[in-house]
This record gives sequence, C-alpha cells and structure tokens, in this order.
Amino acid sequence: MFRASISAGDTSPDQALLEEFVDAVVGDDTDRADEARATLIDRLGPEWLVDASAVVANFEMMTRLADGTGARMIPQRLEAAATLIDEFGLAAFPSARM
Amino acid sequence: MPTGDIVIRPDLMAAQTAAWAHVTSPGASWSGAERAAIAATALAALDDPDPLPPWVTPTTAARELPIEGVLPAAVVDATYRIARHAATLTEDWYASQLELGIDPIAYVEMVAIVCSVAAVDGFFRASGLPRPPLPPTTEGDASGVHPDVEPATLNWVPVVGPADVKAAVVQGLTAAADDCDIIWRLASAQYIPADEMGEMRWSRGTLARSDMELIAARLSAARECFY
Repeated sequence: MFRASISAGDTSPDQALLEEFVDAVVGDDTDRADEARATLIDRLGPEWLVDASAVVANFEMMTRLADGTGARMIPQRLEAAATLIDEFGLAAFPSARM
Repeated sequence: MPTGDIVIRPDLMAAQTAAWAHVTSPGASWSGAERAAIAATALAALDDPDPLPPWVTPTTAARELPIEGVLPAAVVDATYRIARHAATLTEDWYASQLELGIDPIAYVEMVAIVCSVAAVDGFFRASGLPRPPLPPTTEGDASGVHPDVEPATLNWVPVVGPADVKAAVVQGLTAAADDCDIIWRLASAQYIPADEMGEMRWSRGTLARSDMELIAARLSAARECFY
C-alpha cells in the first residue's frame, strides 16, 4: 500500500514522531510502544493518538484485503512507481504481484 | 499510560461497533456461528505471542484455538494465515484453498471478516486502549444470496463486474457485498472518506494527508505488503 507521493526525505519533526509511533506499535516491545504513545499525546495531543491509530488500523485492514484477494496494481501505476519499487527493494516482497 | 482523556471520534466508534457486530452475525456464505468462529480465530492469530511460521498450519500443529469444531480445518488454517501472514500468500496458495473445498465467494467473505477484525484490533493495539471483546453471536444461517460475479485479472478472487475497471482493493471484496460496505465504512472513518480520496490536502484537523500516507507506507512496509 505504498503511495508514490511520499519521498524518503520529505519529513517534518511531527512525521519523525509518527514514524517512531508506527514502528513502536507494530513491534513487540510494549515499553517502546507505551513511550511512543505518551510522547505523541504529550507533543501533539490525545486526538492525534486516536487519528494516527485509526490510520494504522486502516492499513492493518487494507494489507489483508490486498494480499488476501491477490490485488495487483495496474501496469501504468507499476510504471509510475518503478523508482520507488527499486529504491526500497519492494519487488523482493513475497507479496509483489507484478 | 493514562487513557481517561482519550476520546474516540463518534464516526470511528460507530464504524468499529458496526464491524464488530457484523462479524458475529449471519452473512451470505457463513452462518453467525461460523463467522464468529472465523473472527475469533483471526483474533487468536493476531494475539498469538508465539506465532506459527506461515508454512505451519494451526490444526496440524495442534495449536489451541478459541472455538473448536465449528469450522473445517481448511478454513481455520486459512483464517490464521491471512490474519497473521497475509504477505506470504500466493496465487498457488489461493488455488490450493479452493482445492481443499473452500468456495471462492465464501473465501472472499472470510477475507472480509479477517479485514474487519484486523481493523478493530489494529486500532486498539495501536492506541493502547482496551479492545472490546467480540459481541455475542447472532445465530442464523447464511442467506445464500450472492451478487453476480466474474473472474478478474487484477484479483485472484472473483469480483462484481465489470472486473478490472477500478483499483483492485476497491473491487476485491465486492463478492461479499455487505462485508464490503462495512470495510469501506471503516476506511472512511479510519483514513479518508471515499469522495475525498483525490484531495491531497484533506485533513480531519490533526494529521495532514502527507502524515496519513507516511503512516500508511510505514505500516504497509512493516507488513511487507507490496500493493
């Protein structure tokens, strides 16, 4: 579920916080996850925790939808994402249906 | 973490509540008891502190699961695999599920149940708030009412036609119409309303669109989802 609109260097301080939040809550380290949630609330407010968690939830859902139904991108979108696919090594994912 | 000042938006709570109620209610292919068993199996897979590798099935590994005897072993195994290891699925694996006797339309409904469970579980896991239990089962047989479907090239599964004219994730669950509606209601509350999808500056007032896409990309990479 990558979007070509995101580039590696295009992050604000808030986005660094969000990256740490996602990495923490998908991992097994409960202390790290608690700290990431607390930092998000402290820096941005509890409504950010709700909305960021909702987006996490959406893509926990959409990744199962895409991979469970064998969803493929149309050739034009694959072409448009070619640089991103190459840069991040996405073709190596077992779920790469090209 | 103190949670007293965390308020879940009403639209999000309503979408989650509807999804939670739907997974334990009769569907088109599965009875209420069967759907509740699929949902409980998916939750058990997501909660498993020592998950089985993708190539080991819970029934052959004698893994204890919350509901025994309601579902065929193939359905239990497929549910666990989709919930826990979706990125490892292949078209050959999908074909093998049909050979094991899973009906293609019933398979789509099963995927949709796992998707709903992954969404609700994902929210509460990420936020650290206590996840509500699955609601009691609403007993009842499957309706057996299905839309007309056709084969697709952008999905393994059959879809409501015309196939391949919309994004594959939009068409993927159309064979399970009621569940498909639930999924897109969740998506609207969790992410972006469908009619705002093209607006790259859309925001609820907190996350900017670029923030949402960053979370989406980071999560999808963690789940090794190419799409």
